[in-house]
Amino acid sequence: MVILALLGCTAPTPPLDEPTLAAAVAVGTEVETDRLYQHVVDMVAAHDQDPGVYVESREKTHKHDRGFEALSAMLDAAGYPPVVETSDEDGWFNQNLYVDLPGTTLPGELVVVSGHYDVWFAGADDDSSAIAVLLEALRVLSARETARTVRLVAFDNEELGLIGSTRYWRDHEADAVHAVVNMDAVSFAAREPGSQSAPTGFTLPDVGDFVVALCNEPAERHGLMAAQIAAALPEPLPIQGAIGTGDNRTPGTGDFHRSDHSGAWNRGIPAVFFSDTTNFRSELYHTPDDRPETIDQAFLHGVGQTVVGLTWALANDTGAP
Amino acid sequence: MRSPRRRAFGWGLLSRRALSAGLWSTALAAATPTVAAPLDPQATPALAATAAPTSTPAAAPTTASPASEQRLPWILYGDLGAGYLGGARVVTGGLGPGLGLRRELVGPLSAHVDVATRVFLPASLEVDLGLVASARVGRWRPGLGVELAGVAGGAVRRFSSAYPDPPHLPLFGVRGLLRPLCFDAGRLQLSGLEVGLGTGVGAAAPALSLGIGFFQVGWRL
Repeated sequence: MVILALLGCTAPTPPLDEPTLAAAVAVGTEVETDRLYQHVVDMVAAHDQDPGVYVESREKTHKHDRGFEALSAMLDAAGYPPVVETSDEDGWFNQNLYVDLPGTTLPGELVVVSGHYDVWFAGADDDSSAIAVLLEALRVLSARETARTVRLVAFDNEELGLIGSTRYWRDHEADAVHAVVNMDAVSFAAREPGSQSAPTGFTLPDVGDFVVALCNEPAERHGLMAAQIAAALPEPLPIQGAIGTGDNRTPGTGDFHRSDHSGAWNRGIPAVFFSDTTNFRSELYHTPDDRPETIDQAFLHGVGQTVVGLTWALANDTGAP
Repeated sequence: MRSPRRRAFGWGLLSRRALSAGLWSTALAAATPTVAAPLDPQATPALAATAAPTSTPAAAPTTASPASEQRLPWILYGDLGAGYLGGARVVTGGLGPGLGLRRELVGPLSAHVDVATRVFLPASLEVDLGLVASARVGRWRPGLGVELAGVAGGAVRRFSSAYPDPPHLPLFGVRGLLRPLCFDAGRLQLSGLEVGLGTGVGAAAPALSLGIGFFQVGWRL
C-alpha cells in the first residue's frame, strides 16, 4: 500500500460532488453560442473603427480606445455600469474596468474573472473571445445568487506588457480573493493532425482542439474542478491542465506567465489561466487576420460554459481553497 | 528525473563468463588482453617477473584491481548533468550539478546513490539509486546498468480529460544506463557522456525518462 501510494496509484477524490457538478454544468450550459459570437463581432467592429497606435518595436497597431467605449456601453446596457480605474504612469495611460455581482453570504470574498480588451489589429481570438465570455458570465450569473462576490474584470494594455493587470493587482493587494479565472485567446481550434505545437520540454496532443488550463499550486483544486465541468458538458471540451511549482518563474515555464493572471500568481493568489495556446496553434496570432470568421464557435462555447460553470462553483464553493 | 550517472567499478574485471553473459561484446573481449585468465608465473618465467609484487603500482598486472581500489571501495563524486521526465502527466527537468556516493560491491558490480538539482522547468531535486556492471580494459571502465530516478522537488504536474488526477511527488522513472567513457586515474575516476534512457513508472507514466551525465569526477575515499 505504501508503495502504491508512493507511486501515486491511489484513487483520487474529485473536487466536486455529483450534485454540485450537475448544478455547475447546468449553469454553464446557459451560455449561448450565438451571444458569444455576437459579442466577438461587436468588439471587433469597435476595434475596426479605432485607428490605434502603431508600436514600432512590435511593428503592429495597438488598439483599445474604441474597445473601451464599446465594452462600457455594453455593460451599461446590461444594467451594470462598470467601475473604471484610470491611471497614467510611466507614460502609459490605462483604463481597467470591472463590475461586481455582490455575494450573499461571503460578499467580502472575490472570485475574479478576467480578460483583456486591448488588441493588436482587431483581435477576435486575442482577446475579444474572453470579453465575450465575460459578458455571457454577467448575463448568466447576474440572474442568480452566489455566496461570494463575482468580479468581472476587463484589463487594458495586456498586449503592451501586462500593464493593466500589473496595476490592478498592485492596487488591490488588500482584496480577499478566493479565486482568479483568467482567459486569454479562448476561441481558436484546429482539428488537423499536426496543428498543435508545444513549449520546449512539453508534449501536447498534436490536434489543437483542447483548451489549456494552467494553475499555480494554490489553484490546483480549481483546475480540477474545471476539468470535471469540461468533461461533463453535453459536448465535452478536451482540456489539458498543468499545475506549476512555486510562482512558475523558471526558464521552461516562462510562457505560463504570458497573461493577466501573472500578477495574481506573483502574490500567491489561486489563479487558473485558460487559453487556446494562441501562437502554439494559430498562424493568425497577432495578425490582422485574427477576425471573427476564423474563430471556432463550438470551441468558444465549450470554454464559455466551462468558465461560467466554474465561476459559479467557485463562488459557492465551501472546500479548501 | 535526473541524469544518468556512472559508477561502475568493480574491483574486479569482467570475467569471461560475464562477458559471455552479454554484458560486453565478444569483440571487446577479444581486444582486451586484461581479461585473460591469470597466467601461471611459474610456467612463464618472463611473466613471473612482471607479475611479482612490486612497490610500483604501475607495474602490477592489470588482471587484478589496483590495491587502492580494493582498499577504497567508496567513491564520492560530483558531476554536471541534465535530466528530463516528461509526458502526459508530468514535466520536469533541466541542467544542474549533482553529488553522489558509489560503493563497489562484488565482481564488476557497484551501487550508487546521488542527488542532483535540475533547473529549467520547475527547479527540481532528483535522487537516484543505481546498479552498474563495469568492465576493465586498462584504465578504461565502461559500464552498463539500471537506475531508479526519483523527482523529489519541483515539477509541472498535469491533468487532462484522459488523466483527470494529477500525480503527486515524488515521481519515479526507471532507465538503463550506458557509461562509455569512464577512466581510472589513481584515486580519481573520470567519466563523461553517460546516457540513461527509460520510462516513467507509477503515476508518472506514460513519460520519457532521460538523463545525460556530461562530466563526472570521483574520488576514492
